[in-house]
Amino acid sequence: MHTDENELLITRFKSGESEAFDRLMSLHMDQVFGLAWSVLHDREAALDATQEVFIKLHAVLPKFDSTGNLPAWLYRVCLNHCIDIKRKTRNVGLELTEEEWDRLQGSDHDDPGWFLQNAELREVIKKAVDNLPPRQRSAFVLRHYNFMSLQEIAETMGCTVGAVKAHLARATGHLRVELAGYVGIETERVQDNGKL
Amino acid sequence: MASCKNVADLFGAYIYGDLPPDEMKKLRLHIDECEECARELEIQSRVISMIPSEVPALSDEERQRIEWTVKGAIRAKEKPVRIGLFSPAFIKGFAFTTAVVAAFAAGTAIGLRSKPVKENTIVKTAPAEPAEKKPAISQPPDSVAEQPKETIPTDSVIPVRQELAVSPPRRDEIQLIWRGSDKRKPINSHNGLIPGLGQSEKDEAGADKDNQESWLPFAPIPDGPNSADLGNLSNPGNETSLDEPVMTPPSVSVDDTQNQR
Repeated sequence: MHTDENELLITRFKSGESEAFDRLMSLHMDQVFGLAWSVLHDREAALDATQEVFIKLHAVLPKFDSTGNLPAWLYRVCLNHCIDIKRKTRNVGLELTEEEWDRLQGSDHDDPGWFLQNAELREVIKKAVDNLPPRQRSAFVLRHYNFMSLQEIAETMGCTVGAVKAHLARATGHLRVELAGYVGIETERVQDNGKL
Repeated sequence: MASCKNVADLFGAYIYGDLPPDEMKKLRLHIDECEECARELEIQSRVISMIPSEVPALSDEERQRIEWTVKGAIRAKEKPVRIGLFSPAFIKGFAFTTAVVAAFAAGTAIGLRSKPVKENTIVKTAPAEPAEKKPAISQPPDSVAEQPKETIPTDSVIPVRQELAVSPPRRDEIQLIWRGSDKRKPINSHNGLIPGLGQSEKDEAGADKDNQESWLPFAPIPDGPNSADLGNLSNPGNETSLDEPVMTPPSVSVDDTQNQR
């Protein structure tokens, strides 16, 4: 259904209906923003990245195959754009507010100490995700924050489903090493294949 | 039995529930038999569940901002490209524009040169002061062509000749309306010609110049020049006293004018 709507809108855009592009934008804006935010962890940067993605889309849409996978193309462009930004701003700290993270955590704790501890935890989590290698980070972000299927991730990343599984497994292994101490588990050395 | 290495590649997908049934079965069989892999899988599951998965939602203002920014960027890209000074497109456009301007200027110049000055044109200027009164009887010029441009007084009698000099009248357009007393008889147009205006036509027809009719719309001023036989101006044989006006303008009564002298 979604794929059919994408195909129809692309065809209409090619025939001269500019409103079709507006509809495409509204269809995919949330997912693109979510992906951008999950990589950048910065609202303003994620908004800018979302704008850039749709500007690029408008430029290539006349030549875009209407039967092609438009969401995969959007996510790929977004990922590449965000990773490039991340490379340039590698030392920039987290800019999320406490209120945003509290909302994300779903926490209603009143203990100030809990917030302090959580703030440290937030920083560690984001640092751990940022430190993932690009392919592993892409696979993890697309699955964890965007709830994409393995097949969709494979199309987005331009690899096989088996490769996606491998990237995902390595990502969870690295995160386990970085964050295991925060769940009360002693950190142990983990090899690349995830085996202890 | 699957090796730990092969099973470890499935941990990530297993944690998210993305494994197909056959691989799910393979992994479960392995961790049932391998405590290390089972422990590792448990740790990874707890770490991943600790990481929040929600992303902030876009507000309506942010959605609108994205739309406007994208549309603005698209419009900016669709603006016409600047053309270089020596590009073929610029040269063509410049040449075309120059040709159009030159043709327009030439046409205007030709039109201004060939346009003749209209005869008997009346140049309207500021209205004359009420205190100034011009004589009701105007001396007709010798020829129509010599009639100078005069201002039209608004509060005095306008000679018919000047009034009709604005545009050549036609026979059927001239209406002579008599508004004077019964003593004064209107004179019908003679052969369709208005007295005075038909001079040039009569000359062309070879009329006797000695019998040129001088035209007097009203009773002439005593000792005034060019008193003429007004009867010749109308039906032949119709003798009209010089004291009686031949014609009066429709808007002004001759009686009033005479009484004002």
